[in-house]
Amino acid sequence: MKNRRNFSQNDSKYEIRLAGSGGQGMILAGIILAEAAILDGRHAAQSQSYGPEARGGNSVSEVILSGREIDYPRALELDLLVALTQEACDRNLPDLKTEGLVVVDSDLVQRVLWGKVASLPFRQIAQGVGEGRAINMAALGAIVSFCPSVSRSSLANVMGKRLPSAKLAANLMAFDEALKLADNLRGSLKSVENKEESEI
Amino acid sequence: MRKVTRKQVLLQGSEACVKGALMAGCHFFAGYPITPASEIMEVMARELPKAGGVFIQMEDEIGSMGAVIGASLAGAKSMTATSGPGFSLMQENIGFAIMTEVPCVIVDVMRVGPSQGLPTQPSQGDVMQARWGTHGDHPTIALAPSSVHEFLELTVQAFNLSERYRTPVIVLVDEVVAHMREGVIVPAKGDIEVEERSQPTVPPEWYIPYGDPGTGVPPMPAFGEGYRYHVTGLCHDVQGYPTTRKDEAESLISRLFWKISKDLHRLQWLDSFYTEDALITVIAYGFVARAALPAVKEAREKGLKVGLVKLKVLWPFMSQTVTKVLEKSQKVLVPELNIGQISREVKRVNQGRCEVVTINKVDGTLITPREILKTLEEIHP
Repeated sequence: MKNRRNFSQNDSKYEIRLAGSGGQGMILAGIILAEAAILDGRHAAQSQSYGPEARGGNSVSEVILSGREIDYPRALELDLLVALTQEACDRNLPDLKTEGLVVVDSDLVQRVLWGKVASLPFRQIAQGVGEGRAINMAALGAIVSFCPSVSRSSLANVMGKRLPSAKLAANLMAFDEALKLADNLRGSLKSVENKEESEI
Repeated sequence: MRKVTRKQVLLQGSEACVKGALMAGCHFFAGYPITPASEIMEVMARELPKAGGVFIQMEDEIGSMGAVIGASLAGAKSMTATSGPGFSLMQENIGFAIMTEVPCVIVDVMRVGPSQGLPTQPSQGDVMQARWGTHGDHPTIALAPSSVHEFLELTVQAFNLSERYRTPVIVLVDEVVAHMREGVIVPAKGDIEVEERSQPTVPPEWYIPYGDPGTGVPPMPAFGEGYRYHVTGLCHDVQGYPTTRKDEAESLISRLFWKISKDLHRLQWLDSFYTEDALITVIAYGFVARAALPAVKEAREKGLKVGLVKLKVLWPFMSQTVTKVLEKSQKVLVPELNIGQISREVKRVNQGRCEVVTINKVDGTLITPREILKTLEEIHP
Protein backbone atom coordinates (compact mmCIF):
# COMPACT_ATOMS: atom_id res chain seq x y z
CA MET A 1 0.00 0.00 0.00
CA LYS A 2 3.03 2.27 0.47
CA ASN A 3 3.73 2.60 -3.23
CA ARG A 4 0.28 3.68 -4.29
CA ARG A 5 1.19 7.34 -4.90
CA ASN A 6 0.77 6.75 -8.58
CA PHE A 7 -1.84 9.42 -9.13
CA SER A 8 -1.04 11.55 -12.11
CA GLN A 9 -0.46 15.26 -11.61
CA ASN A 10 -2.60 16.03 -14.58
CA ASP A 11 -4.58 19.21 -14.98
CA SER A 12 -7.92 17.65 -15.69
CA LYS A 13 -10.85 18.10 -13.39
CA TYR A 14 -12.14 15.18 -11.36
CA GLU A 15 -15.66 15.51 -9.96
CA ILE A 16 -16.89 13.44 -7.03
CA ARG A 17 -20.27 13.46 -5.33
CA LEU A 18 -20.94 11.74 -2.02
CA ALA A 19 -24.63 11.21 -1.50
CA GLY A 20 -26.51 9.71 1.39
CA SER A 21 -28.87 10.69 4.14
CA GLY A 22 -28.24 13.27 6.84
CA GLY A 23 -26.10 11.80 9.64
CA GLN A 24 -24.11 9.41 7.46
CA GLY A 25 -21.17 11.81 7.45
CA MET A 26 -21.12 12.62 3.74
CA ILE A 27 -20.14 16.24 4.32
CA LEU A 28 -17.28 15.35 6.67
CA ALA A 29 -16.02 12.78 4.14
CA GLY A 30 -16.06 15.49 1.46
CA ILE A 31 -14.14 17.92 3.66
CA ILE A 32 -11.48 15.32 4.45
CA LEU A 33 -11.15 14.44 0.77
CA ALA A 34 -10.76 18.09 -0.27
CA GLU A 35 -8.25 18.83 2.46
CA ALA A 36 -6.18 15.77 1.54
CA ALA A 37 -6.12 16.86 -2.10
CA ILE A 38 -4.80 20.27 -1.05
CA LEU A 39 -2.06 18.54 0.95
CA ASP A 40 -1.19 16.70 -2.27
CA GLY A 41 -0.71 20.09 -3.93
CA ARG A 42 -3.90 20.07 -5.95
CA HIS A 43 -6.74 22.56 -6.09
CA ALA A 44 -9.92 21.46 -4.40
CA ALA A 45 -13.41 22.78 -3.75
CA GLN A 46 -15.97 21.15 -1.51
CA SER A 47 -19.61 22.12 -1.38
CA GLN A 48 -22.78 20.63 -0.02
CA SER A 49 -26.51 20.69 -0.17
CA TYR A 50 -28.98 19.43 2.36
CA GLY A 51 -32.51 19.91 3.56
CA PRO A 52 -33.65 21.83 6.65
CA GLU A 53 -33.70 18.69 8.84
CA ALA A 54 -30.74 17.85 11.11
CA ARG A 55 -30.98 14.07 10.61
CA GLY A 56 -32.40 12.14 7.65
CA GLY A 57 -33.25 13.84 4.40
CA ASN A 58 -30.89 13.95 1.47
CA SER A 59 -27.35 15.00 2.14
CA VAL A 60 -24.96 15.63 -0.70
CA SER A 61 -21.32 16.66 -0.61
CA GLU A 62 -19.35 17.48 -3.74
CA VAL A 63 -15.62 17.62 -4.21
CA ILE A 64 -13.97 19.01 -7.32
CA LEU A 65 -10.27 18.22 -7.73
CA SER A 66 -8.05 19.84 -10.31
CA GLY A 67 -4.46 20.64 -11.13
CA ARG A 68 -5.55 24.17 -12.00
CA GLU A 69 -7.54 26.86 -10.28
CA ILE A 70 -11.20 25.90 -10.23
CA ASP A 71 -13.50 28.35 -12.03
CA TYR A 72 -16.78 26.65 -11.20
CA PRO A 73 -16.65 24.75 -7.92
CA ARG A 74 -19.74 22.59 -8.47
CA ALA A 75 -20.03 19.32 -10.36
CA LEU A 76 -21.17 19.44 -13.97
CA GLU A 77 -20.51 15.83 -15.00
CA LEU A 78 -19.55 13.44 -12.25
CA ASP A 79 -16.55 11.15 -12.61
CA LEU A 80 -17.44 9.32 -9.43
CA LEU A 81 -20.64 8.98 -7.45
CA VAL A 82 -20.69 7.41 -4.01
CA ALA A 83 -24.25 6.57 -2.92
CA LEU A 84 -25.09 5.20 0.50
CA THR A 85 -28.88 5.08 0.17
CA GLN A 86 -31.12 3.84 -2.61
CA GLU A 87 -32.69 7.26 -2.98
CA ALA A 88 -29.29 8.98 -3.13
CA CYS A 89 -28.30 6.58 -5.89
CA ASP A 90 -31.46 7.02 -7.95
CA ARG A 91 -31.45 10.81 -7.65
CA ASN A 92 -27.83 11.35 -8.58
CA LEU A 93 -27.21 8.81 -11.34
CA PRO A 94 -28.34 11.20 -14.10
CA ASP A 95 -25.44 13.55 -13.26
CA LEU A 96 -22.73 10.97 -14.02
CA LYS A 97 -20.70 11.26 -17.19
CA THR A 98 -21.08 8.33 -19.59
CA GLU A 99 -17.92 6.56 -18.43
CA GLY A 100 -18.46 7.55 -14.79
CA LEU A 101 -18.30 5.10 -11.87
CA VAL A 102 -20.89 4.50 -9.15
CA VAL A 103 -19.73 3.20 -5.78
CA VAL A 104 -22.54 1.95 -3.56
CA ASP A 105 -23.04 0.17 -0.27
CA SER A 106 -23.99 -3.40 -1.10
CA ASP A 107 -26.63 -3.61 1.69
CA LEU A 108 -28.19 -0.17 1.46
CA VAL A 109 -28.34 0.10 -2.32
CA GLN A 110 -29.86 -2.90 -4.05
CA ARG A 111 -30.61 -1.57 -7.50
CA VAL A 112 -28.21 0.41 -9.66
CA LEU A 113 -29.29 1.27 -13.17
CA TRP A 114 -25.77 1.96 -14.40
CA GLY A 115 -22.99 0.18 -16.25
CA LYS A 116 -19.86 0.74 -14.17
CA VAL A 117 -20.69 -0.12 -10.58
CA ALA A 118 -18.62 -1.04 -7.55
CA SER A 119 -20.79 -2.45 -4.81
CA LEU A 120 -18.93 -2.75 -1.52
CA PRO A 121 -20.07 -3.64 2.02
CA PHE A 122 -19.19 -0.33 3.69
CA ARG A 123 -21.77 -0.69 6.46
CA GLN A 124 -20.61 -4.21 7.28
CA ILE A 125 -16.99 -3.07 7.29
CA ALA A 126 -17.85 -0.25 9.70
CA GLN A 127 -19.80 -2.58 11.98
CA GLY A 128 -16.94 -5.07 11.75
CA VAL A 129 -14.48 -2.59 13.26
CA GLY A 130 -16.99 -1.80 16.00
CA GLU A 131 -17.76 1.74 14.83
CA GLY A 132 -20.94 1.89 12.75
CA ARG A 133 -20.41 5.56 12.04
CA ALA A 134 -17.17 4.80 10.16
CA ILE A 135 -19.25 4.04 7.06
CA ASN A 136 -18.18 7.37 5.54
CA MET A 137 -14.49 6.67 6.09
CA ALA A 138 -14.92 3.20 4.56
CA ALA A 139 -16.38 4.93 1.50
CA LEU A 140 -13.34 7.23 1.42
CA GLY A 141 -11.09 4.17 1.38
CA ALA A 142 -12.79 3.00 -1.81
CA ILE A 143 -12.38 6.43 -3.38
CA VAL A 144 -8.59 6.21 -2.95
CA SER A 145 -8.63 3.10 -5.06
CA PHE A 146 -10.78 4.53 -7.87
CA CYS A 147 -9.84 8.22 -7.97
CA PRO A 148 -6.47 9.08 -9.51
CA SER A 149 -6.17 12.44 -7.74
CA VAL A 150 -5.84 11.63 -4.07
CA SER A 151 -3.35 9.65 -2.02
CA ARG A 152 -3.91 7.33 0.92
CA SER A 153 -1.22 8.98 3.02
CA SER A 154 -2.73 12.46 2.79
CA LEU A 155 -6.21 11.16 3.54
CA ALA A 156 -5.00 9.26 6.58
CA ASN A 157 -3.13 12.38 7.66
CA VAL A 158 -6.24 14.56 7.45
CA MET A 159 -8.39 11.90 9.16
CA GLY A 160 -5.95 12.13 12.05
CA LYS A 161 -6.62 15.86 12.27
CA ARG A 162 -10.37 15.86 11.73
CA LEU A 163 -11.58 12.78 13.63
CA PRO A 164 -11.80 12.38 17.42
CA SER A 165 -8.62 10.58 18.50
CA ALA A 166 -10.54 7.84 20.33
CA LYS A 167 -12.29 6.90 17.09
CA LEU A 168 -9.33 7.26 14.74
CA ALA A 169 -8.02 3.69 14.89
CA ALA A 170 -11.40 2.12 14.10
CA ASN A 171 -12.00 4.59 11.31
CA LEU A 172 -8.59 3.91 9.77
CA MET A 173 -9.27 0.17 9.94
CA ALA A 174 -12.56 0.60 8.10
CA PHE A 175 -10.84 2.92 5.61
CA ASP A 176 -8.04 0.45 4.83
CA GLU A 177 -10.37 -2.53 4.73
CA ALA A 178 -12.55 -0.84 2.11
CA LEU A 179 -9.48 0.31 0.21
CA LYS A 180 -8.25 -3.29 0.03
CA LEU A 181 -11.60 -4.60 -1.16
CA ALA A 182 -11.87 -1.83 -3.74
CA ASP A 183 -8.35 -2.59 -5.02
CA ASN A 184 -9.31 -6.22 -5.49
CA LEU A 185 -12.47 -5.23 -7.26
CA ARG A 186 -10.83 -2.70 -9.55
CA GLY A 187 -9.41 -5.32 -11.89
CA SER A 188 -12.75 -7.08 -12.17
CA LEU A 189 -14.97 -4.01 -12.59
CA LYS A 190 -15.85 -5.21 -16.06
CA SER A 191 -17.36 -8.44 -14.77
CA VAL A 192 -19.21 -6.57 -12.05
CA GLU A 193 -20.64 -4.47 -14.80
CA ASN A 194 -21.89 -7.53 -16.68
CA LYS A 195 -23.31 -9.11 -13.57
CA GLU A 196 -25.23 -5.97 -12.64
CA GLU A 197 -26.56 -5.71 -16.13
CA SER A 198 -27.78 -9.26 -16.19
CA GLU A 199 -29.44 -8.79 -12.80
CA ILE A 200 -31.37 -5.84 -14.17
CA MET B 1 15.29 39.10 1.75
CA ARG B 2 13.55 35.95 2.92
CA LYS B 3 10.63 35.01 0.80
CA VAL B 4 7.91 33.12 2.59
CA THR B 5 5.62 31.03 0.44
CA ARG B 6 2.36 30.60 2.24
CA LYS B 7 0.50 27.34 1.85
CA GLN B 8 -3.09 26.84 0.82
CA VAL B 9 -5.48 25.85 3.56
CA LEU B 10 -8.98 24.48 3.11
CA LEU B 11 -11.43 27.01 4.52
CA GLN B 12 -15.18 27.25 4.54
CA GLY B 13 -16.54 30.59 3.32
CA SER B 14 -17.85 31.33 6.80
CA GLU B 15 -14.45 30.59 8.36
CA ALA B 16 -12.79 32.88 5.83
CA CYS B 17 -15.24 35.64 6.75
CA VAL B 18 -14.31 35.31 10.41
CA LYS B 19 -10.58 35.32 9.57
CA GLY B 20 -11.10 38.50 7.55
CA ALA B 21 -13.07 40.14 10.36
CA LEU B 22 -10.38 39.33 12.92
CA MET B 23 -7.63 40.59 10.63
CA ALA B 24 -9.56 43.83 10.21
CA GLY B 25 -9.66 44.20 14.00
CA CYS B 26 -13.24 43.10 14.75
CA HIS B 27 -13.65 43.19 18.52
CA PHE B 28 -17.36 42.62 19.02
CA PHE B 29 -19.94 40.25 17.54
CA ALA B 30 -23.62 40.07 18.46
CA GLY B 31 -25.99 37.82 16.60
CA TYR B 32 -28.81 35.34 16.56
CA PRO B 33 -28.36 32.00 14.81
CA ILE B 34 -30.05 31.46 11.45
CA THR B 35 -29.44 29.10 8.53
CA PRO B 36 -27.34 29.59 6.39
CA ALA B 37 -25.39 32.16 8.43
CA SER B 38 -24.99 30.22 11.70
CA GLU B 39 -21.51 28.95 10.88
CA ILE B 40 -20.12 32.50 10.97
CA MET B 41 -21.52 32.90 14.47
CA GLU B 42 -20.25 29.48 15.57
CA VAL B 43 -16.72 30.19 14.43
CA MET B 44 -16.87 33.69 15.91
CA ALA B 45 -17.99 32.30 19.28
CA ARG B 46 -14.86 30.16 19.28
CA GLU B 47 -12.30 32.54 17.79
CA LEU B 48 -13.31 36.04 18.94
CA PRO B 49 -12.72 35.52 22.70
CA LYS B 50 -9.26 34.09 21.89
CA ALA B 51 -8.47 37.38 20.15
CA GLY B 52 -9.61 39.32 23.21
CA GLY B 53 -12.97 40.29 21.73
CA VAL B 54 -16.51 39.94 23.00
CA PHE B 55 -19.16 37.60 21.59
CA ILE B 56 -22.83 37.79 22.59
CA GLN B 57 -25.75 35.70 21.43
CA MET B 58 -28.70 38.09 21.64
CA GLU B 59 -32.42 37.41 22.02
CA ASP B 60 -33.09 38.26 18.37
CA GLU B 61 -31.79 40.21 15.40
CA ILE B 62 -33.23 43.53 16.56
CA GLY B 63 -31.23 43.24 19.77
CA SER B 64 -28.17 42.03 17.84
CA MET B 65 -28.09 45.12 15.68
CA GLY B 66 -28.65 47.33 18.75
CA ALA B 67 -25.74 45.69 20.57
CA VAL B 68 -23.50 46.09 17.51
CA ILE B 69 -24.26 49.82 17.35
CA GLY B 70 -23.66 50.26 21.08
CA ALA B 71 -20.32 48.43 20.97
CA SER B 72 -19.19 50.47 18.00
CA LEU B 73 -20.08 53.74 19.77
CA ALA B 74 -17.93 52.49 22.63
CA GLY B 75 -15.01 52.14 20.21
CA ALA B 76 -15.06 48.49 19.14
CA LYS B 77 -15.14 47.41 15.52
CA SER B 78 -18.38 45.45 15.49
CA MET B 79 -20.26 43.05 13.28
CA THR B 80 -23.18 40.68 12.99
CA ALA B 81 -24.18 37.97 10.53
CA THR B 82 -27.64 36.87 9.52
CA SER B 83 -29.86 35.75 6.66
CA GLY B 84 -32.92 37.26 4.95
CA PRO B 85 -35.49 37.00 7.77
CA GLY B 86 -33.02 38.33 10.35
CA PHE B 87 -31.81 41.00 7.95
CA SER B 88 -35.41 42.23 7.73
CA LEU B 89 -35.53 42.59 11.52
CA MET B 90 -32.27 44.54 11.52
CA GLN B 91 -33.43 47.16 9.05
CA GLU B 92 -34.71 49.73 11.55
CA ASN B 93 -31.44 49.76 13.48
CA ILE B 94 -29.39 49.77 10.27
CA GLY B 95 -31.17 53.03 9.44
CA PHE B 96 -30.29 54.30 12.91
CA ALA B 97 -26.61 53.43 12.31
CA ILE B 98 -26.68 55.25 8.96
CA MET B 99 -28.24 58.35 10.52
CA THR B 100 -26.00 58.40 13.59
CA GLU B 101 -22.95 57.42 11.49
CA VAL B 102 -21.93 54.37 13.48
CA PRO B 103 -19.50 52.07 11.64
CA CYS B 104 -20.46 48.38 11.62
CA VAL B 105 -20.48 45.36 9.33
CA ILE B 106 -23.55 43.24 8.57
CA VAL B 107 -23.06 39.96 6.72
CA ASP B 108 -26.22 38.72 5.03
CA VAL B 109 -25.93 35.14 3.80
CA MET B 110 -28.80 35.17 1.35
CA ARG B 111 -31.38 32.38 1.18
CA VAL B 112 -34.51 32.09 -0.92
CA GLY B 113 -37.35 34.33 0.27
CA PRO B 114 -39.74 35.93 0.88
CA SER B 115 -40.33 35.07 4.54
CA GLN B 116 -38.74 31.76 5.67
CA GLY B 117 -38.50 30.67 2.01
CA LEU B 118 -35.91 27.96 1.38
CA PRO B 119 -33.54 28.17 4.36
CA THR B 120 -30.77 25.99 2.95
CA GLN B 121 -30.84 27.10 -0.66
CA PRO B 122 -28.99 29.84 -2.53
CA SER B 123 -30.47 33.13 -3.70
CA GLN B 124 -29.46 36.67 -4.51
CA GLY B 125 -32.83 38.03 -3.50
CA ASP B 126 -31.67 40.55 -0.89
CA VAL B 127 -29.85 42.94 -3.23
CA MET B 128 -32.66 45.48 -3.12
CA GLN B 129 -33.32 44.86 0.57
CA ALA B 130 -29.72 45.83 1.21
CA ARG B 131 -30.31 49.00 -0.78
CA TRP B 132 -33.77 50.04 0.38
CA GLY B 133 -34.55 47.82 3.37
CA THR B 134 -34.54 50.70 5.81
CA HIS B 135 -36.79 53.67 5.24
CA GLY B 136 -35.90 57.12 4.03
CA ASP B 137 -33.33 58.33 1.54
CA HIS B 138 -29.95 57.00 2.55
CA PRO B 139 -26.68 55.79 1.06
CA THR B 140 -25.74 52.10 1.17
CA ILE B 141 -22.51 50.23 0.75
CA ALA B 142 -22.83 46.54 -0.11
CA LEU B 143 -20.12 44.12 -1.30
CA ALA B 144 -20.58 40.72 -2.97
CA PRO B 145 -17.87 38.02 -2.77
CA SER B 146 -17.81 35.18 -5.29
CA SER B 147 -15.29 32.84 -3.69
CA VAL B 148 -14.01 31.82 -0.27
CA HIS B 149 -10.89 33.90 -0.81
CA GLU B 150 -12.94 36.94 -1.81
CA PHE B 151 -15.19 36.50 1.22
CA LEU B 152 -12.11 36.97 3.41
CA GLU B 153 -10.82 39.90 1.40
CA LEU B 154 -14.16 41.73 1.15
CA THR B 155 -14.90 41.27 4.85
CA VAL B 156 -11.66 43.13 5.58
CA GLN B 157 -12.70 45.80 3.07
CA ALA B 158 -16.19 46.01 4.60
CA PHE B 159 -14.60 46.99 7.93
CA ASN B 160 -12.29 49.45 6.21
CA LEU B 161 -15.08 51.18 4.30
CA SER B 162 -17.29 51.26 7.35
CA GLU B 163 -14.57 52.91 9.44
CA ARG B 164 -13.56 55.26 6.62
CA TYR B 165 -17.08 56.51 5.94
CA ARG B 166 -18.67 55.92 9.37
CA THR B 167 -21.53 53.93 7.93
CA PRO B 168 -22.86 50.36 8.08
CA VAL B 169 -21.42 48.14 5.34
CA ILE B 170 -23.29 45.07 4.16
CA VAL B 171 -21.63 41.94 2.79
CA LEU B 172 -24.16 40.18 0.59
CA VAL B 173 -23.05 36.62 0.16
CA ASP B 174 -24.63 33.66 -1.58
CA GLU B 175 -25.36 30.59 0.55
CA VAL B 176 -22.99 28.54 -1.63
CA VAL B 177 -20.07 30.89 -1.06
CA ALA B 178 -20.62 30.84 2.72
CA HIS B 179 -20.89 27.06 2.87
CA MET B 180 -18.36 25.84 0.32
CA ARG B 181 -14.76 25.12 1.10
CA GLU B 182 -11.84 26.09 -1.11
CA GLY B 183 -8.10 26.22 -0.82
CA VAL B 184 -7.13 29.72 0.31
CA ILE B 185 -3.77 31.33 0.83
CA VAL B 186 -4.45 33.33 3.96
CA PRO B 187 -2.66 36.68 3.72
CA ALA B 188 -0.19 37.62 6.43
CA LYS B 189 -1.31 40.33 8.83
CA GLY B 190 1.19 42.77 7.43
CA ASP B 191 -0.06 42.25 3.88
CA ILE B 192 -3.48 43.64 4.72
CA GLU B 193 -4.23 47.31 5.02
CA VAL B 194 -6.48 48.04 7.98
CA GLU B 195 -8.21 51.42 8.38
CA GLU B 196 -9.31 53.01 11.66
CA ARG B 197 -11.96 55.65 12.28
CA SER B 198 -10.54 59.16 12.52
CA GLN B 199 -10.17 60.60 16.01
CA PRO B 200 -10.75 64.18 17.19
CA THR B 201 -7.60 66.29 17.50
CA VAL B 202 -9.29 68.92 19.68
CA PRO B 203 -10.03 68.77 23.41
CA PRO B 204 -13.51 67.50 24.42
CA GLU B 205 -14.98 70.96 24.99
CA TRP B 206 -14.17 71.98 21.40
CA TYR B 207 -15.44 68.77 19.82
CA ILE B 208 -18.28 69.17 17.28
CA PRO B 209 -19.63 65.63 16.90
CA TYR B 210 -21.42 66.06 13.57
CA GLY B 211 -19.37 68.82 11.98
CA ASP B 212 -17.85 68.29 8.54
CA PRO B 213 -14.05 68.37 8.66
CA GLY B 214 -13.98 68.62 4.85
CA THR B 215 -14.11 64.91 4.12
CA GLY B 216 -17.78 64.63 5.04
CA VAL B 217 -16.81 62.21 7.82
CA PRO B 218 -16.66 63.65 11.37
CA PRO B 219 -14.02 62.21 13.73
CA MET B 220 -15.45 59.66 16.18
CA PRO B 221 -14.14 59.26 19.72
CA ALA B 222 -15.22 56.27 21.79
CA PHE B 223 -17.81 56.72 24.51
CA GLY B 224 -16.10 57.07 27.85
CA GLU B 225 -13.07 58.93 26.57
CA GLY B 226 -14.44 62.23 27.78
CA TYR B 227 -16.03 63.42 24.56
CA ARG B 228 -19.70 63.75 25.60
CA TYR B 229 -22.18 64.03 22.79
CA HIS B 230 -25.78 63.24 21.97
CA VAL B 231 -26.70 60.41 19.57
CA THR B 232 -30.14 60.44 17.99
CA GLY B 233 -31.89 59.02 14.96
CA LEU B 234 -33.78 62.28 14.64
CA CYS B 235 -32.39 64.85 12.25
CA HIS B 236 -29.70 66.57 14.28
CA ASP B 237 -27.54 69.66 14.18
CA VAL B 238 -23.75 69.54 14.22
CA GLN B 239 -23.83 69.20 18.02
CA GLY B 240 -26.00 66.09 17.71
CA TYR B 241 -29.20 67.63 19.09
CA PRO B 242 -32.58 67.19 17.37
CA THR B 243 -33.51 69.88 14.91
CA THR B 244 -36.35 70.66 12.52
CA ARG B 245 -34.53 73.51 10.80
CA LYS B 246 -34.67 72.84 7.09
CA ASP B 247 -31.10 73.99 6.42
CA GLU B 248 -29.76 71.67 9.12
CA ALA B 249 -31.82 68.68 7.98
CA GLU B 250 -30.85 69.22 4.37
CA SER B 251 -27.15 69.59 5.06
CA LEU B 252 -27.10 66.49 7.29
CA ILE B 253 -28.76 64.21 4.75
CA SER B 254 -26.78 65.51 1.80
CA ARG B 255 -23.56 65.06 3.76
CA LEU B 256 -24.51 61.42 4.46
CA PHE B 257 -24.69 60.88 0.70
CA TRP B 258 -21.78 63.09 -0.29
CA LYS B 259 -19.24 61.48 2.05
CA ILE B 260 -19.58 58.31 -0.06
CA SER B 261 -20.56 59.61 -3.50
CA LYS B 262 -17.50 61.88 -3.69
CA ASP B 263 -15.42 58.67 -3.71
CA LEU B 264 -17.49 56.67 -6.22
CA HIS B 265 -14.46 56.32 -8.51
CA ARG B 266 -12.65 54.55 -5.65
CA LEU B 267 -15.45 52.02 -5.32
CA GLN B 268 -15.37 50.52 -8.83
CA TRP B 269 -14.14 47.07 -7.77
CA LEU B 270 -14.39 44.52 -10.52
CA ASP B 271 -12.67 41.67 -12.31
CA SER B 272 -12.99 41.61 -16.07
CA PHE B 273 -12.31 38.78 -18.48
CA TYR B 274 -12.09 38.99 -22.31
CA THR B 275 -13.91 42.33 -22.39
CA GLU B 276 -11.64 44.13 -24.91
CA ASP B 277 -13.45 43.09 -28.09
CA ALA B 278 -16.60 41.60 -26.58
CA LEU B 279 -19.86 42.05 -28.47
CA ILE B 280 -21.75 40.57 -25.55
CA THR B 281 -20.66 41.23 -21.98
CA VAL B 282 -21.94 39.21 -19.06
CA ILE B 283 -22.39 41.29 -15.91
CA ALA B 284 -22.51 39.02 -12.87
CA TYR B 285 -21.72 38.98 -9.16
CA GLY B 286 -21.41 36.49 -6.35
CA PHE B 287 -21.51 32.80 -7.12
CA VAL B 288 -23.22 33.35 -10.48
CA ALA B 289 -20.01 35.01 -11.71
CA ARG B 290 -18.28 31.66 -11.06
CA ALA B 291 -20.75 29.97 -13.43
CA ALA B 292 -20.35 32.76 -15.98
CA LEU B 293 -16.55 32.43 -16.28
CA PRO B 294 -16.40 28.86 -17.66
CA ALA B 295 -19.37 29.70 -19.91
CA VAL B 296 -17.52 32.71 -21.34
CA LYS B 297 -14.30 30.69 -21.75
CA GLU B 298 -16.15 27.96 -23.63
CA ALA B 299 -17.97 30.49 -25.79
CA ARG B 300 -14.60 32.07 -26.68
CA GLU B 301 -13.33 28.63 -27.71
CA LYS B 302 -16.33 28.43 -30.02
CA GLY B 303 -15.36 31.77 -31.54
CA LEU B 304 -18.01 33.93 -29.88
CA LYS B 305 -16.91 37.42 -28.89
CA VAL B 306 -18.09 37.48 -25.30
CA GLY B 307 -16.65 38.82 -22.06
CA LEU B 308 -17.39 38.96 -18.36
CA VAL B 309 -17.44 41.75 -15.81
CA LYS B 310 -17.69 40.59 -12.23
CA LEU B 311 -18.98 43.25 -9.85
CA LYS B 312 -17.60 43.16 -6.30
CA VAL B 313 -19.43 46.28 -5.14
CA LEU B 314 -23.22 46.20 -5.57
CA TRP B 315 -24.01 49.47 -3.72
CA PRO B 316 -23.34 52.21 -4.51
CA PHE B 317 -24.07 50.82 -7.96
CA MET B 318 -20.93 50.85 -10.12
CA SER B 319 -22.48 53.01 -12.81
CA GLN B 320 -19.11 54.28 -14.08
CA THR B 321 -17.95 50.75 -14.83
CA VAL B 322 -21.28 49.58 -16.18
CA THR B 323 -21.64 52.64 -18.45
CA LYS B 324 -18.28 51.79 -20.05
CA VAL B 325 -19.45 48.21 -20.62
CA LEU B 326 -22.73 49.40 -22.12
CA GLU B 327 -20.92 51.79 -24.45
CA LYS B 328 -18.63 49.05 -25.79
CA SER B 329 -20.96 46.06 -26.05
CA GLN B 330 -23.88 45.38 -28.35
CA LYS B 331 -25.69 43.33 -25.73
CA VAL B 332 -25.25 42.60 -22.05
CA LEU B 333 -26.39 39.47 -20.24
CA VAL B 334 -27.20 39.72 -16.52
CA PRO B 335 -27.72 36.31 -14.88
CA GLU B 336 -29.01 36.50 -11.30
CA LEU B 337 -30.56 34.28 -8.64
CA ASN B 338 -33.54 36.62 -8.33
CA ILE B 339 -36.26 38.04 -10.50
CA GLY B 340 -33.99 40.84 -11.79
CA GLN B 341 -32.52 43.17 -9.18
CA ILE B 342 -29.11 44.25 -10.51
CA SER B 343 -30.39 43.97 -14.09
CA ARG B 344 -32.89 46.67 -13.10
CA GLU B 345 -29.96 48.95 -12.24
CA VAL B 346 -28.15 48.00 -15.45
CA LYS B 347 -31.26 48.95 -17.43
CA ARG B 348 -31.52 52.24 -15.53
CA VAL B 349 -27.94 53.16 -16.40
CA ASN B 350 -28.29 51.78 -19.95
CA GLN B 351 -30.79 54.39 -21.20
CA GLY B 352 -31.43 52.41 -24.36
CA ARG B 353 -27.77 52.06 -25.42
CA CYS B 354 -27.81 48.29 -25.85
CA GLU B 355 -29.97 45.25 -25.40
CA VAL B 356 -30.11 43.92 -21.82
CA VAL B 357 -30.86 40.19 -21.58
CA THR B 358 -31.39 38.45 -18.25
CA ILE B 359 -31.38 34.93 -16.81
CA ASN B 360 -33.35 34.72 -13.59
CA LYS B 361 -33.91 31.89 -11.14
CA VAL B 362 -35.81 31.81 -7.87
CA ASP B 363 -36.28 28.05 -7.40
CA GLY B 364 -33.35 27.49 -5.05
CA THR B 365 -31.14 25.93 -7.73
CA LEU B 366 -28.05 27.50 -9.24
CA ILE B 367 -27.59 29.01 -12.68
CA THR B 368 -25.19 26.62 -14.43
CA PRO B 369 -22.39 27.44 -16.88
CA ARG B 370 -24.35 25.47 -19.50
CA GLU B 371 -27.41 27.70 -19.16
CA ILE B 372 -25.32 30.84 -19.54
CA LEU B 373 -23.48 29.39 -22.54
CA LYS B 374 -26.77 28.45 -24.19
CA THR B 375 -28.12 31.98 -23.82
CA LEU B 376 -24.85 33.46 -25.11
CA GLU B 377 -25.10 31.27 -28.21
CA GLU B 378 -28.72 32.27 -28.75
CA ILE B 379 -28.17 36.01 -28.48
CA HIS B 380 -24.75 36.27 -30.17
CA PRO B 381 -25.06 38.50 -33.23
